[in-house]
Amino acid sequence: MKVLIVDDNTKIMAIAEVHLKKEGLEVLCVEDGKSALESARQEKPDLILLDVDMPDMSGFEVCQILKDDAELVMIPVVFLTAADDNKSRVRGLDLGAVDYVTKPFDSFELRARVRAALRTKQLQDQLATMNLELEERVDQRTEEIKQLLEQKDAFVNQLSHDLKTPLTPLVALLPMVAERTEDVESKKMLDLIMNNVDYMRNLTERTLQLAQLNSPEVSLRVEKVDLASEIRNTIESLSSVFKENGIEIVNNTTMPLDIEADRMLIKELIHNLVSNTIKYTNGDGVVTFESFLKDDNVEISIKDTGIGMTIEQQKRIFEEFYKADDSRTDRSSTGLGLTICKRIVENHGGSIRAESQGSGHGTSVHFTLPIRQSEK
Amino acid sequence: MNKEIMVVDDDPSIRSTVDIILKTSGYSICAVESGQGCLDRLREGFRGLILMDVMMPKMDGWDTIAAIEDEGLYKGNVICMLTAVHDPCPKLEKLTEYVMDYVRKPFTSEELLEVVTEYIEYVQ
Repeated sequence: MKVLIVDDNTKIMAIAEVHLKKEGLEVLCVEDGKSALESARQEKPDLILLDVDMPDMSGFEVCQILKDDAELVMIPVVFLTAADDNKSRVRGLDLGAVDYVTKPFDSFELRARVRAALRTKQLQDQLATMNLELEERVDQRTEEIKQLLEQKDAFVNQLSHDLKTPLTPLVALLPMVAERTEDVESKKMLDLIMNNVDYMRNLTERTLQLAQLNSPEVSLRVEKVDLASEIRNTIESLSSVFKENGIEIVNNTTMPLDIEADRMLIKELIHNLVSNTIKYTNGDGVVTFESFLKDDNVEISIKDTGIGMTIEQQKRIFEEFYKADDSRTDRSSTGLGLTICKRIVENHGGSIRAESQGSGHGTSVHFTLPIRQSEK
Repeated sequence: MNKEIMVVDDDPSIRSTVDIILKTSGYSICAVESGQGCLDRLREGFRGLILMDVMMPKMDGWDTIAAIEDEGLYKGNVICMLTAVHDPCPKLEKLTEYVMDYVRKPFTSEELLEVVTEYIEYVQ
């Protein structure tokens, strides 16, 4: 390893040089601050032994310049100070020196302090190398994961697509078989089968939709969409279901709420959210729709008086395949509806959140969409 | 009203499913397994509603429509696509003018019959 000694007193320098060479170190000697900086830049020493008190440029000035230079900042500095000069020692350490040796120095102490400083430097260098390697590995792994995720989406896409053909005879023919069946037990069995086929159909449809929303190639078909009238249309189309379930609708959204968006996706989003209010309200409730304009965004909130959510459920509600009632056997939900909603909102550059005061206290979903879509 | 329907699909279970549903409702139907088969029938004088699968080996639904047009066999027929994908392929926008509608797999018998009853009226 290489040490640079900087001292205008050549006698002291010569003594230090002899001792450090005994440590097996390569030693460079310069007599002033300017040469010290030059040598530091050219030779990149592993340690600088720096006299405080020098003419023209003091050791403090040299240290300041070293510590302000990104290329030199990592070279440890050990100051050479006068024995009675406490202030200088403190100032030197504050400027970024790792240690000091007082003059006249004891040779064993000098060697021990230099050894200690070099050990630290070596560890620092190792750490820096490891850090670099780690960063490279993280980059590499991130790229691998990205590719794997893309492969996963492509696979899911292909799989759900391929499932559609074999599902067709089941979806199309089972009801015809059920209609011709007289036997009550067989009818029950067929009902059970058809229920599950329906579920499979839903699951396939939704999985495919999610894979498509995840795909980086898919772009939005942007046009002018009136959010308020989309909400009103959805409420109207479900009005009989609301009535059957004893749910009252309060629609406080103001017309019009024109935004730039993909109409089909917005329809899907609103339909999913509105259907959820019905699914999770056990009779006699109120669903309230509100709209707010905030800067360049529209915020919609849909609040119900339904079964609500625990804090755990609120955290996980947008996860793929998460079902709020924790039941894997619930055939009315695929656990993908809200994940799809989140993707739709995010693909538009918006955000969505779900809140509840707890189980039994209703749920409110708020989503924000930008009024304009930036050109891609 | 004895207008014919042709189903073009390489998957035998889809051909059978369509065949069963439409025969039950009193339509006469012929099933072929490829675009080539479809062209052969048209050359023999078939006129009617064609239910065409999009994804088929060798000659897909779009290739078949292009060939039908090339040979001047389109006139008098109505084409609806049977598809498992959400959207028509945008590259083939030129050909979509020959397509009246899409039936998305998996379809119910009601969905299929709705399309058939609506578009068979357009067969000349």
